[in-house]
Amino acid sequence: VNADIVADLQAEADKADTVVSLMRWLQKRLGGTLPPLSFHAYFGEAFGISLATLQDVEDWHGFGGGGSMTDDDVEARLSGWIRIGGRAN
Amino acid sequence: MPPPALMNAALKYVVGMPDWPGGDPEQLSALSRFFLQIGDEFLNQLRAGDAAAGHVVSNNVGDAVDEFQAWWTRSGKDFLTTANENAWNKAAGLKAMAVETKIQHAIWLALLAFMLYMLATGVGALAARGVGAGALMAMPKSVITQQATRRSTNLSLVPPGPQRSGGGGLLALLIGAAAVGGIYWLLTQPGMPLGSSGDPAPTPAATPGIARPADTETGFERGEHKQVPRYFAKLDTDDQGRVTGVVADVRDGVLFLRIDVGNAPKQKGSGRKLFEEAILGIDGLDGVDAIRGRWKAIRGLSDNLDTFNNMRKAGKTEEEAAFETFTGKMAKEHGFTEAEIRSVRLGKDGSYIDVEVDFRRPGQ
Repeated sequence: VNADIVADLQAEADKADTVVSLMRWLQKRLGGTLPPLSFHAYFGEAFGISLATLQDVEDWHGFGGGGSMTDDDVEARLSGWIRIGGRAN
Repeated sequence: MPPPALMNAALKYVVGMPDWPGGDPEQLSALSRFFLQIGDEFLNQLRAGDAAAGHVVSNNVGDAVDEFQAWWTRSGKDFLTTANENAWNKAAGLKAMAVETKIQHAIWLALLAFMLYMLATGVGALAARGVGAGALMAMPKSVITQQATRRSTNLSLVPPGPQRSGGGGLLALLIGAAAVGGIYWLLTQPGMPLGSSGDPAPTPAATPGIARPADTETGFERGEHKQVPRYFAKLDTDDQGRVTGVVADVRDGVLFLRIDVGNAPKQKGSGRKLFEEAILGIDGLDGVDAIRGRWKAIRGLSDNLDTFNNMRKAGKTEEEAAFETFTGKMAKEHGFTEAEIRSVRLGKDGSYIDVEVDFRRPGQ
């Protein structure tokens, strides 16, 4: 797990508008793809979110694995775990 | 020795505090949790360093080595074991380290700074090998663990035969361990965060980089080792650029795992190797009551589910089918020989699209 990316992800959380936009940012940072495993590793490292919680959003359509979970669903499940845009959730 | 400015920068980095000492209790509590987790990692490394310590002692001579050996034999091992199993359990159970007066804030911050210094000293070899101290401070705990592990490996690779100790790495270990002792003693004094008085403060709001919402998620209680979060992640890419690796996380005594072997699933043993690495990475299966499989019909994550479905079609029960999966086989090999199906979801065609199962040891 790349420590620089973890640090960047933590910093990006302060600028992001939503959790999904943060996931999109990570996707771009990783070269355009965001496999669930990378998502687990980086969000787990950066924000201390449990794997159990992160697994709940593996169905997100943005992972490209055929899941149908919407952005709103992801937001609802994860927004309480990360302080986005410097505001408390 | 890291300059005070570095500590200041590290603290700012972690909680965004404009000045130090200062800040609000919420930030402080989050910060304290962060450092206690690092302390946990550091203790684990020192504890794991027992073998390395023995190796160092047997392959080196000198006053520093004698002193180290005496300390290690007298109190180091016992202390580290006790501290690891008791002190940090308390730390996890506290949920948040918010303190109630400004004086306590100052004391707590000073302790944190000391711990920061101890960590920088204890893993000082990193800086010598080109890892900037600032980068060190910014490392997440698992990275520090990995780096500290590498350092322990270096210790154990001391060439055979008597050598005069230069004192560098060894002294750093000694100082680091002694500092842990001092910190532990201070923290356990009455009125201090790990002391016997005072109830845990409310859990703070999520904070970038250090939020550990699992505190509320798992409902930590004091004194239960199994409830200390244990986490391991390793990523790689296969020859086609696909991400492979493993993420493992223990919460409330339940081990969650995600393993992806990429396009090399036919390479015998690749998944097993990652599984075993993860077990090592979470410090073994002691305190793990269950290994939870969560299998979904998602491309790239469905190997276990595919096997489960095939076994069901072959007439096996859900429990039997669960043990035919990769995770089930691994669980069984490690003594988790009972399966409890927690939930299943079927697709339109009747096949399983979502299965959640716990593998447990007999009688648990």
